[in-house]
Amino acid sequence: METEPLYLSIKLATVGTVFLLCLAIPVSYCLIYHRFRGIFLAESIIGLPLVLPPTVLGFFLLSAMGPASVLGQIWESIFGHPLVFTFYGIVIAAIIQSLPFAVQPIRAAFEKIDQHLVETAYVLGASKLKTFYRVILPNARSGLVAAAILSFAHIMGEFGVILMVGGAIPGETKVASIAIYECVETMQYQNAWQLSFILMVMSYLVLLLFNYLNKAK
Amino acid sequence: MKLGIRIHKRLPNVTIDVSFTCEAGQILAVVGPSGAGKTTILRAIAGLEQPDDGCVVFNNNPWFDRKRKINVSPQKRKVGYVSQGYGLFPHLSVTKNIAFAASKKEMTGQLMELFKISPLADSRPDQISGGERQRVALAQALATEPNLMLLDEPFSALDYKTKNALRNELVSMKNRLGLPIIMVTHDLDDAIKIADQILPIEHGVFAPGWLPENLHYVAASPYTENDIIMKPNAGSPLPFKLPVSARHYP
Repeated sequence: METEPLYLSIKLATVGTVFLLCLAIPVSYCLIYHRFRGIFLAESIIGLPLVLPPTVLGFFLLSAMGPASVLGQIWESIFGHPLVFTFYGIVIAAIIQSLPFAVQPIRAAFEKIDQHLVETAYVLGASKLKTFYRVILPNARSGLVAAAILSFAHIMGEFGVILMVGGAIPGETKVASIAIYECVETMQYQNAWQLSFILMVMSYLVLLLFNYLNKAK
Repeated sequence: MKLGIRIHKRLPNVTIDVSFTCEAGQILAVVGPSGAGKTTILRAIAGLEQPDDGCVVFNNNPWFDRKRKINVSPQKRKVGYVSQGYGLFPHLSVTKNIAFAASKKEMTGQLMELFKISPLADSRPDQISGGERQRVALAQALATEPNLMLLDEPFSALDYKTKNALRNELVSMKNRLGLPIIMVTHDLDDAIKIADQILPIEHGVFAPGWLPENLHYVAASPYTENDIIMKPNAGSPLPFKLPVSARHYP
């Protein structure tokens, strides 16, 4: 059995989850604490990957990150290689595709925080930054954990977008879900079974952890 | 130290229109039924609510002035505010709750000694009683070395014994600190026992009629004169000792 796709999936999910949390926390904060006109437009754009077919999103990203695009050219001039069909390319694609899965739980956790606590911090002299780190984030811990777990699980199972943006380059972009597809196409059913079983067990364990933490709250 | 406010604020169910002053070493009790706008007054002083019109002035420094477009942030007002739910941070221990606000490191220990809460140092707010929470909240509010204290229903949800002990604590605190203290309460008994001034309000405005008849009240005119003097009747059944006044500002 090939272990490289599994390793790549875990690596992608780990890196993607870290970047997703770094992005989703400020985005969620802005959605809750800096309500602005046209906020529903921003909310709809963030939620778009939930309803868009992965191939459509993948095609858009391929066009936006390809060698002919502005982003692709900037990337190539800095790093000396194209962005698409690389591990970095699929990390970006995975982050965009999974953003709503990270934003929703964090946003819900921020919404649940008693506003009196935030106000108390302000009256006690705490700046907005101190209030965020010392009051809001610790009280939104369960939402952060849920966001991390959901993002990790979602990236592990990502297929369409990654195939469009990364292809199936062994050791670079061929993650477990794509390897299973290839195994089935080439009738290597034993390999497909083994990879699928491992992916299922991992997904189950992640969900188990999610539900356990939810109950423990 | 002296606080003066004149606030006009339209809320969905009530329009608040009050003005008063409170001097250092005095407790002013804003008394009235639920929904009278008492908490909004405190929130406006703390900077958490912006009045539609009026001003909040502390020691001749405007904290809020609608006309001059001045609105000092809550962080800069240095107000000790004990809200109705006490506002203690649930994820922090008693020590860390007080240290969060402490302007000097050694202050945390001193305040814990003062309020006799040192044995609760490592407990979290949900592990201590209502009376203890109240004392922690007072210590937390004082840790900022505030310019004045705002107390929102400080004795509600406390049993009789704890309530009495805290009333005494508040009076001794008033004498020790020499700060203006503004307390809102729906319980006239609380106000009469510890306040130096009483401002009765109902539906957002000065409402002397809300006070009981046996508490004799002398007022030249509440809205045109500067002073409203309230004195107890001779032989009043209420344990009322101090002359109580509510002043209009400016």
